[in-house]
Amino acid sequence: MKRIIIISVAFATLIFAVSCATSPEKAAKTAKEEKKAAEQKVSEKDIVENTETLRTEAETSLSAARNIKADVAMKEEFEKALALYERAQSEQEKGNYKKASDLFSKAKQLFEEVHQKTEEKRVQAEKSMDESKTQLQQLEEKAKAAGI
Amino acid sequence: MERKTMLIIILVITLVLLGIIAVGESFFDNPDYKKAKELNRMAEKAFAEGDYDKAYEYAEEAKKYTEKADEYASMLVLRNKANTLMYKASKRLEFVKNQGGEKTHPKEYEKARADYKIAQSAYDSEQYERSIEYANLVIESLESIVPKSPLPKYYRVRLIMKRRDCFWRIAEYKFIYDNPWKWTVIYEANKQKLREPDNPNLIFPGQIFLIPSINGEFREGTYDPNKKYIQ
Repeated sequence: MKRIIIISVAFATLIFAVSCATSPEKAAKTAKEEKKAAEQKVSEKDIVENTETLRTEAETSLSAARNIKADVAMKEEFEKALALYERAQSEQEKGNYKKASDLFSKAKQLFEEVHQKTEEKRVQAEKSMDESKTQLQQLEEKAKAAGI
Repeated sequence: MERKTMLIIILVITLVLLGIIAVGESFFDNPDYKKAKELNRMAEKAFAEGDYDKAYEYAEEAKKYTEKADEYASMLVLRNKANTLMYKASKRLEFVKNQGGEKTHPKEYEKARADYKIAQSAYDSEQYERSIEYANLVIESLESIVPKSPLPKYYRVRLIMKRRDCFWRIAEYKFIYDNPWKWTVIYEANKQKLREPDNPNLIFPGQIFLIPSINGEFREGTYDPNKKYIQ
């Protein structure tokens, strides 16, 4: 009798387990959830990486602008771009990667514009200085030759 | 005594200051030139600091001052040229005058003097181009006057073996009258110097005769065979 009871319980458990394992709806649901979780994980990683890339690019532009002395030549514009960059940094630290990315992009663009305009000013100033120096030099030579 | 010393010191200081002012007329002391140089330096400094707008501004301003300095340099060159030519013209006038050109070439000399006055006046009013033009006229017009001695006023009788001097022959000389028939003019002017005033044929070597001017020509000095005379 005891043997019969044990066999019956085991059989019932087996039946239950088989019925559970073979439910197609339940299986599908589990896979979807797992996939979604994985995707979300990947997307967040991308955003963080992308923000970091944009930050690096903005810093490169910032550095280039500083090297050409845009912080002096175009003080206001440079400071505007710098303020954007600093806000982007702050957002990044808070974990607001999307906002940080947007701000880094804008800052980068502004640094590039400032760099370009500064370069134009630098070239113009250099040209004018060269002309002025040449004119004065020629005049000095003329004066020396004339003995005046 | 002390007052005198003070006056001397003041005079010396004044002279030194005047000297400094005179020397200070060099182009390199010109304020516009100095300003242009300073502006170029300022432009370089601003450029190094990255203030390109200021650098450009200073360089452009320097160019304007360089232009002004250039005008000053051109004026100095012109003034120096005028000065040199004025000096040459005055020396030429002096030379011609010393050579008797004032009397031998009165027209040319007077014109040259008038031109020199114009040149001097133009120079004083800083019209250097005009001054150069007229100083050149003085030099050119006097250049045609070959420095020759004026005709002699006296003639010393010479002992010439082949051609003995007599009033006839003396008058015949080109530098005398170039006309033997004028011998009487010399004879009459020197009659009283002759040993025999009524005998024009008796003259002796070494006797000095006055040669009167017969056509208003300028005559000066005693005939010198080594000199060239105006014909």
